[in-house]
Amino acid sequence: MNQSMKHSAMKSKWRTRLCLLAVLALTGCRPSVAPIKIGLAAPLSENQAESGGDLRDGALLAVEELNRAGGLLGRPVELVELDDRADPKDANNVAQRLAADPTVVAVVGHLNSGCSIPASKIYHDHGMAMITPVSTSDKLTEQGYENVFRICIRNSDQGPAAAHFAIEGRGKRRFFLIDDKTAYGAGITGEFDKAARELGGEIIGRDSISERETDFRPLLTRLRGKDLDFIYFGGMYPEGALLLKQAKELGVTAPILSGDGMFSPELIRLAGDAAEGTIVTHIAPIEPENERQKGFFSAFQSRYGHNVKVYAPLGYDCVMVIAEAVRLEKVADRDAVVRAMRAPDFQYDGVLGVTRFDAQGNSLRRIPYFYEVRRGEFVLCRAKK
Amino acid sequence: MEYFIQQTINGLSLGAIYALLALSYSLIFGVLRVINFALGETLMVGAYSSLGLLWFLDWLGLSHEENSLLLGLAAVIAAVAGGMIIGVLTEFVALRPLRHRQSPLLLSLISSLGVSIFLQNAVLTFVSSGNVRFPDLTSREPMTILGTSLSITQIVIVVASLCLMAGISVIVYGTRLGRQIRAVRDNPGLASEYGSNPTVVITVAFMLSGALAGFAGVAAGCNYGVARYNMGFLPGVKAFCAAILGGIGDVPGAVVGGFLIGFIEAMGAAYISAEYKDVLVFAVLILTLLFRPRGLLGRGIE
Repeated sequence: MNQSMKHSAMKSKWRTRLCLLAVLALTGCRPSVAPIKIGLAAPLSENQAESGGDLRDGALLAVEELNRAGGLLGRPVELVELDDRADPKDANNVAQRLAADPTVVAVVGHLNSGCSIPASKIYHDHGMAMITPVSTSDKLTEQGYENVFRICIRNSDQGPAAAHFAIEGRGKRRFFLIDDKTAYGAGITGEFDKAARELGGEIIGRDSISERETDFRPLLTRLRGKDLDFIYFGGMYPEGALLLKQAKELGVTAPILSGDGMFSPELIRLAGDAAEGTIVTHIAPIEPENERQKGFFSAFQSRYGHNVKVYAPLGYDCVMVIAEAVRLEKVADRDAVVRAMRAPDFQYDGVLGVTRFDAQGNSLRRIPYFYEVRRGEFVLCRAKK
Repeated sequence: MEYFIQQTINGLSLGAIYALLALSYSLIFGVLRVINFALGETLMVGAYSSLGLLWFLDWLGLSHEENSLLLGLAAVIAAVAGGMIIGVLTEFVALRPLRHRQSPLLLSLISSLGVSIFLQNAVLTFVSSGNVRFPDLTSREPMTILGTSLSITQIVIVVASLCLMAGISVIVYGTRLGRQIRAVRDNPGLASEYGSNPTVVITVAFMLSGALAGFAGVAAGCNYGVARYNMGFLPGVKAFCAAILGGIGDVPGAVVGGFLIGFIEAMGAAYISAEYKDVLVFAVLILTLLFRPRGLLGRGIE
């Protein structure tokens, strides 16, 4: 509540600035100063609000930077934020609303694969580019839609990387798999399963939980006393935190290995010391590794007063990719943005490094970051211990 | 064997929450023939009431690690009180006006559904839309009994729920008030002819039912360590099924139904697959209704 109030206050302040900008542009004798709108679709309330909010903060930072530098093609840029509540039904609604507004040139979103996949069809029907910052399900870009792009890695990169990390890096071989039956969770668990078997790992068993469920004790009790190295969990942090807590209570000692869905400071807040030893593959850096990233992280820190939490660099780069496409084509319309991003020589050098897309619309960067929870914090770790 | 005992405890602690709520449904259905769909949210408000109190005490500087037992009790009382208030308010605001106009019972059902949606959204808007950490009121360290390590929280929940339900049974079966509740359940017209005041009886039933749901809320909060604005929805649906399974309107039936559903869920996840546990629960429900339409004990209201 507080945050959203602050946010709307920020927004209104923002609006005044936009007006000022518009006035400036008008006095510069430009006839059209209608803003170029970029959509942002992510869960901004409910369980996954922290991840979605961080993504939005990153995207907003990019928009503000663009406007400070004079906007795009002399026009101000505006971010249209809509909340999909991590629910595929709401995601469809949000997509319809964004598609119906002809001044929205492209969309940054959605966060959850289960939302991105149905929404991508709607954007496709309206010839609108969507660039997902976070959805990792392979299915999203396998649909053959020319308008769909992905700036992060896929499940088929993330799952196998985790298997490789555990087996080759840490010499662990025995896994139990749990997924949450969503496009993301079931997908990434399947990829992990395949890769782990290929690398000589042993899958002791697999079971599923449901999103929004709270009692996982019967399932976890089954794992007690089993000789396990890791529990691989394909799912999001709200359920993940409860799994960790209940596993600890029941005396299940195997740590959890998971994907980016488990990466959130909220995980540690909810699970407390039960989160210790959890290892996740993440799709965005959360601490700077080079000068470009240092600039971004300090700008983020001074703008919001806290550090990047989960996905902000991804949101930032998505907006900048769209801006780059508009700049290249010199017009702000939907077709032009898709065309520019589809071009084989399209590239944008951003916080994540150089972003280029393959024929399916996937980013050519394929390497995840590994984080381990140590003393209540996510710590970047290397494969070799 | 150890495995079986642990799974039984899992089933019982899950079942205890269902049984508490199922009993809430039954009490209200008994006196009004209405399903109060806001009970899941009464559970949620119960959890948030004790959270509110704990936050307040924390703000006053009382840490709950030192006075754990006392604060635990205070939290439970806050939850029960919160549940009671919501129970009585639901009746007063959403059901009584309809009853006075002698509207069809279906309208009361929709009205209670409205209360449920209102409460969910009120908490969603004014408190939090995500998971809120629920402080540990009991020790999180497992306890070893007969070679099985058991969680203290689970045992406390099962025992406390049984005590509370026993207390409610004593009220319903052993006191004058309870006799009136049963009289109104069996024949409202005749009961008021013989001197029971239906308004008082109904208010008392809503208070008891709210107290049960509120307690279920603090139990669920402790059990999982989180509270959320829609935490009552799933238990609400399952407990409704439990009440039907045991025979709605009947006190022992609700308790048996609640524990049975928790037990089936745990055993389904334990011996078959967590993926199919709900399928199993509803299969049992359908079979029971086919062969014993008045519930397992055959004492439910038709």
